[in-house]
Amino acid sequence: MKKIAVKDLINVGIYTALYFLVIFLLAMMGFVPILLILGVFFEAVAGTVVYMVYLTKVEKFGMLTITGVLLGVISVLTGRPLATFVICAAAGLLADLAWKQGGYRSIFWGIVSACAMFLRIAGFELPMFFGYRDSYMESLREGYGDAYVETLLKLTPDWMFFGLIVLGTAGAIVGGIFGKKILKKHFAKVGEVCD
Amino acid sequence: MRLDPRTKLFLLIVVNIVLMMGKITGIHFWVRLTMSVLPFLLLLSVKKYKAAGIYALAYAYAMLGEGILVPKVYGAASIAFMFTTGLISRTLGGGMMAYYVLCSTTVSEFVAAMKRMHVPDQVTIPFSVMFRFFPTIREEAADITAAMKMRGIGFSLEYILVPLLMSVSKIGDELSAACMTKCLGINEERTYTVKIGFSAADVVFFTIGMAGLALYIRYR
Repeated sequence: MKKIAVKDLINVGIYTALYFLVIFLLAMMGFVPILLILGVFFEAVAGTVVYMVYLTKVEKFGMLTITGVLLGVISVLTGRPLATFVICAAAGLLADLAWKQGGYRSIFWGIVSACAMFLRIAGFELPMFFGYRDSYMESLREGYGDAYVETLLKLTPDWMFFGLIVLGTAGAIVGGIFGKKILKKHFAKVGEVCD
Repeated sequence: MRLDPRTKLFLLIVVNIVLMMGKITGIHFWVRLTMSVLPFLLLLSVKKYKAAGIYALAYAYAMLGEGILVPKVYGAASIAFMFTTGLISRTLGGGMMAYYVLCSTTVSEFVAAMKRMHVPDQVTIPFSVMFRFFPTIREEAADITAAMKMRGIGFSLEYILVPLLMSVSKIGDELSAACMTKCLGINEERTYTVKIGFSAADVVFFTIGMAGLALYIRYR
């Protein structure tokens, strides 16, 4: 297992930044309840495109785990429950293992890795389901008003949790395919393609 | 007034937790108010008057909206309205706090603080690169959209993302080269010219933060 060098750490930093920003900006759409759900798909697509380019620079184990950890730290720093840190770190680790499994070259495992990394989103939405639901909804109600909460409640029965995961995974797959196309189309010239 | 980076990070977490998840009624109102005022004061202390002013105005809007109008407005318009006040009161405080931390902390201070907290280099370096990189991404994106406008090209995900990714990767290579020339290695001993440490101001703010957090937890 090769050691991680400063060059890799720098890449971790910049691509994690881009990945996070792209998803975050798309997530701002979440004010219309239906977009909160659909947005997950778009976030996955855009984020994964970035992720695929990032993967071309990742050739050592641990880099993706660090990405997960970083994303987890940001989540906690922006006020989400501490559990999200664990989820993000775990997602990062899974993503790392998947990419390693693909020998740092296989597109298939690259996409699996992207799905794993995106799974952290599932952690964010946890408050909406499974028992935390009521107190979270109550606090939302006071801030956002009844109309918003009612619509949200209608759209998110417990099974929607899995719906979100499906959406995220689907988006990641789409993003992965786009990413691969973009890599071939634009980056081939610069010699950065991974097959 | 200088605050140790560690205190700032602690405050950042507290402000975000209290503002995002707190309720509006009862004691929470006062706790949240205090926590919201905190970033305002801190922004003033680093002379970011414009940001502080915008924050104050936006927050006043949100507070008035939430307090007076939430019970009274219904219908489709109410969703949009409700959203803005809710969003502002929940996230603007945290955002401003983050802005303050970013503005008032130099990269050296930040790295030094991380080392003091025994955070491994493998995390510190990417972390600081990330934060230093956010503004850079914004600049690059602005340049790219400007270039697109000049050529009259429409908005498309690909047209923005691809140049962004290419320039990002180039910047990454340049950064690594720069780091090598500065002998930045992993877990190598480094000399710091920056002084960090806890002062009286830190104790004050830390206590405020702790109090806010404790009250929030106690009365949940």
